[in-house]
Amino acid sequence: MKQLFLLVLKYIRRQRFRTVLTFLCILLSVFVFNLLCDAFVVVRGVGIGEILEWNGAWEVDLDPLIKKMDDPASALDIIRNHPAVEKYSRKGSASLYNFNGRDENGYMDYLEYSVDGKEFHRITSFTQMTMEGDTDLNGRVDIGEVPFEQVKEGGITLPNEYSKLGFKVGDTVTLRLRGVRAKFSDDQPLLAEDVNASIANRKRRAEDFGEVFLPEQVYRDSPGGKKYGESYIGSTLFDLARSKKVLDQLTAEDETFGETLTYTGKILSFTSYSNTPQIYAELDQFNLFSAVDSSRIMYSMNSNDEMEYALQLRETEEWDGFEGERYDGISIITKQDMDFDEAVAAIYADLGLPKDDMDEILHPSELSKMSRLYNVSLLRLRFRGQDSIAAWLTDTESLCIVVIFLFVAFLVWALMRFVIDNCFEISVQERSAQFATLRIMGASRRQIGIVVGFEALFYCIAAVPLGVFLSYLCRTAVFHALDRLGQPVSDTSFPLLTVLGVVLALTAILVSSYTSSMWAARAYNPLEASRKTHLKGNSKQSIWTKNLFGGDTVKPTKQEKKAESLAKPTGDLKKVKYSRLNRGQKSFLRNYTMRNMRRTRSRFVISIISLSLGTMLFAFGMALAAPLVVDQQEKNLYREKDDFRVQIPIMPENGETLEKTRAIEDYIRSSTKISLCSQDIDFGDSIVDLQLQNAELMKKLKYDLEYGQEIMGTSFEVLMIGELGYTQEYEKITGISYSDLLTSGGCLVEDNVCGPMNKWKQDDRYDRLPEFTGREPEFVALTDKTADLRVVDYTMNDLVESENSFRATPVVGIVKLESLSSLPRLLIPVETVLKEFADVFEQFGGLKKMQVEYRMQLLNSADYKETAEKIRGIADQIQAESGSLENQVQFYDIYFLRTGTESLIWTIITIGGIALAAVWLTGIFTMLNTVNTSVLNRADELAMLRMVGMSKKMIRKTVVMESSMYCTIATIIGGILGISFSFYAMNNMETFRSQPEVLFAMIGIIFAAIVTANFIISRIAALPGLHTLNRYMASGRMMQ
Amino acid sequence: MDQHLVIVENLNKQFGEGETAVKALDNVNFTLDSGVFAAVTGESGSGKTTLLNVIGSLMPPDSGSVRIDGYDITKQGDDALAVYRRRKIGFIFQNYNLIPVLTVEENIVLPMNLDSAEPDYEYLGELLRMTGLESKRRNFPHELSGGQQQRVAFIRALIHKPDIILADEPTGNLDSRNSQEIINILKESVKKYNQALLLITHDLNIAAQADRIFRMDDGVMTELNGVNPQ
Repeated sequence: MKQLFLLVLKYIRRQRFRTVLTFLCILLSVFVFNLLCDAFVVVRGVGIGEILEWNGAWEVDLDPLIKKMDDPASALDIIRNHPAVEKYSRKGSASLYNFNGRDENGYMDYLEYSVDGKEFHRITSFTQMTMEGDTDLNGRVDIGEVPFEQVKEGGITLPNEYSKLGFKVGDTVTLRLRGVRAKFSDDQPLLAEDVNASIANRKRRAEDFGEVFLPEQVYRDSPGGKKYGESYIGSTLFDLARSKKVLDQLTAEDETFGETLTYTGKILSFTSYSNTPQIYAELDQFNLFSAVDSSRIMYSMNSNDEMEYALQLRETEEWDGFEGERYDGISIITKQDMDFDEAVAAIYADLGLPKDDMDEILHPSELSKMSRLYNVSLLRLRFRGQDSIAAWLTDTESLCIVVIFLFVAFLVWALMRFVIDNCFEISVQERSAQFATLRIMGASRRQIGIVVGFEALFYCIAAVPLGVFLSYLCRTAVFHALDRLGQPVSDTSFPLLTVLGVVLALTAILVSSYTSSMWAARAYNPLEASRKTHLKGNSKQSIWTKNLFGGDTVKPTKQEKKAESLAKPTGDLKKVKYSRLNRGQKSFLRNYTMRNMRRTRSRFVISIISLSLGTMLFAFGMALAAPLVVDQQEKNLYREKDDFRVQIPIMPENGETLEKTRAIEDYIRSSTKISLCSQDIDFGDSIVDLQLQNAELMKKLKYDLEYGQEIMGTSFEVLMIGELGYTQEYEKITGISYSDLLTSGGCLVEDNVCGPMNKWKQDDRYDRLPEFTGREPEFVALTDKTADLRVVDYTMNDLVESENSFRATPVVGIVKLESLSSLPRLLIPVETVLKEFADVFEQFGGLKKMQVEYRMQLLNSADYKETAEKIRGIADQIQAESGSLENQVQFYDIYFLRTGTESLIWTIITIGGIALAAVWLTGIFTMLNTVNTSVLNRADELAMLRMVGMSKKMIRKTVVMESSMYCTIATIIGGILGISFSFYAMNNMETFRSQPEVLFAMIGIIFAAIVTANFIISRIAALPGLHTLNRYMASGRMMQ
Repeated sequence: MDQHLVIVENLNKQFGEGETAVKALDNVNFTLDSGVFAAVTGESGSGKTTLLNVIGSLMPPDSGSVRIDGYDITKQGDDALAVYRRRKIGFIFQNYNLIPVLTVEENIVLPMNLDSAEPDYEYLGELLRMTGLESKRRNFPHELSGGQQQRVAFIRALIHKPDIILADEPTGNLDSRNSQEIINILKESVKKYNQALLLITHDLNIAAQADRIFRMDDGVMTELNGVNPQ
């Protein structure tokens, strides 16, 4: 054994070139295959991470069990304390809601609540929740700003308004809730005003913009009958009023009240997230559904029968009462040191349930599976139970992904197997005479197998771990990039796939070495081996060896005779002057080369497949990368430039003013590391808005805007500006200081002079992109134009609007510049708005909220970390000083997200490029191996060719011609496929679809690149063969 | 136990079928004793090499038997034959067939290494001296001349002191002086170790030195009783 091992080492050392080639082929094959496995691991890890993030990490959903129990409360106790349960989490909720509005007779079901027992408020939805146990099991638990620990204790959250009425967190209150059914007609004054104002607004739009205005009665009558309540407009406005807490102001008739429920508890917090209170208590402690007539509730509970009923009702859309949902779920993780199936069986046994019911958990029914898909998914993902694996395969979505992966993996493995097989075959065939000699000397087949086996072991030890390690590095790089983005990824659940990849790679090597060794063991006679009668597909001996070794009585074929006749030198024996092959010689060389390639069909096929695959992937990769190259400059031009954003809410009702932004503005002014991109000020929500009666302004500015008059519809963006933003962006252009602008009480118009929007080009997302010309900004002063502005609060909607609510604001001038804005913008200083519309805000009950957003650009990426920390610190400080938990100062690190995303994309592109290069190199090395071996195997033939008059140059040409033919065939096959895919892919991209000339130019470039690359490869691949050939010719062996 | 070392009975071997069939061995019968040098002559394609290959268990016959020291090799499995070859047979071919990655010494002791047997280094040294290769024992085959390579192959066939030496034109690529040296060493070994030597040759001078001369004609073997074959 030791001697055989030493013999193998000698082979490896002596055949350095072959060893390196074989090593590289195996390494690259293993790398590509494991990269595929690792890609699946990454995709799976991201998928699992997302699911665990959002749905929790529980293993078993015990809802179905609890519902079957006669005493669910006792069952819950058993589960909470069960020895097989490591952790549990229980989340329950009950909610009533009616979003259907009024029925055809004008009646509506709703709820009323009271905190003081005197004043009731109308609401259309109410929710009660309960939670206990470990919330991590349930993934993200969004319970607003109330900490989970407080929720577990139980209590009440109230709308923000109650904090102004003297209530405080921790106070004990008694909440009363009851159901009501009442009629709301359009005739009541509040809605009537609303309807009249809306119709007037429609008339006005018809005059200004030419919109169609139907006869007034049409808007008063319901277009679809009385199903949706009174008039169409009335119903729409009713819904709006209902959702904006104005129900209280509407007049209800014919009221019918349900049972009043009470709950006494502590106030947990005040919230602006909800307009209604919310109770955190055991579901049975406050039986929400008893507040209304049960016949008015369509239940939707987590049980099969009721779920089905609820679904049926929803589909028919006949229901106009409450929808009630109750969910009470308990999820567990079993003890980690217990067998999963045993743990579940123990729980079942202690609950007194039959073992067969376990199927409901591990193989849920179709209907319950729909609602608990993630339950099944998580069981699958943990692979804790054997049945769970079977359950996994029944899920169509996962099955498709797995099938696709297995199919691709099989193709890659087959290719890897063939490439490795080719390497071993070449290596063994080259030493066939030696193996025959060993057999003659008395080596058994087993000993021959051991020799080849040791070689395989060498490659297994050297190449496989390295290939696996390289793919692991790639996977780690991707995980690192994902982690940097904050993307949840689970990398712990499936090392099996990596192990499987290694096992399959080793299998491919060992199977290949086994088949090669068995072949080697069969070759007895060194004379037969040197005659090469063992070559696959060639049962007839070559005529070139016939006369050398004798004993052959097989007649040459017609083709061989023809080749032989062509080989004989004819005519003049003098050298052709410029050593150019004549036509007959070229024809012979071509025939001879093609015959040799046919003789080694398997190697030919493998080389072509590998090289074609590389060519195809190269073409396809270039096609995918081309848009990145073509669009990169454009995207850099059009993308948002800011790297940091800070949003500061200002709550005037809490006494806050714009002074709150001083810290950040001082920093922006003084910092040399950032520049301000924009300062955006708005009212912080969609309720309060600054409106422009733009039709008038359009008329007034018609000949002053360059392209504005061509824009229809809502033609202006109306924005507030602050001193910092104005100073940085507009002051130099206008020459007017901010204080002067304030003094004038006026506003500015910003006109984007990039051209009319309908002529901007579209990108892949159908965004319109302007064409920048580098035009210098300019300012046109105006003296006779005004903009009619007003401020509205949508909670009041048109209920408080009046005809004369617009205020004429002078337009001091137009700033003409090139920007990304698709509309002209009207810019008004925030202080002007606050001053001019103070009385309007008074009508609203005071301005509740404003928001100022600063977008900043980092000037030097080296300063990123320090600058981000600084800005984050300022934001935190402002937040701490404000003390408001609800409206928090937000800091967004866009730079981190963008660079993280770009880093991830480039990581994936790099790895893809490496994989592509690996596939291509595998093909190149295989071809290189094949050509070189072809030369070695034909040394005697080539010697004969020399004897019959073939020049050295002609012999060299056979080698180059062989590698060229490989590359040509690969170029054709791979090129056709790759360019077809590329054309299809690029033709679906807007960048190329809108510019066919660019598309065809790219295709041409790709084609030229493929041809050039393969030409170079053909020359490179011939080099080792030529080197071997030169050695033979120099040593004189070819003339022996 | 048989009286003769090698007993060949009714040996037949045919290549090809139908019109192209060639009878390489046609009912061959002969015996060979230990200590006997036998030469086989004949035209090209007469079946000499085939006979050697069958006796050397490299090729199974179509029919007949070959008994070596009472051991019918035609009825044995592949592994058993491998052991038989490494212990009982010494092969010498015209084309040397040395392993290029092994040194001279390693090539020589190859059969013994395959058998996990310890080579007789004293005997090895003696053979190397006799053939003038003692200074070349660390060289590789490609560093030797053709004659030197043939001598290495020759020593390889003798190192394990086989019962039978099968030589297929061992002197075909050598000059007359080297050829005679080889033959002398073979004859000495045959006598000394009581071996049987079956040697194929076209050289009548070498054939004349044999104890027995056989002639193959179209697969038929006849013995020339110690007189020069015509």
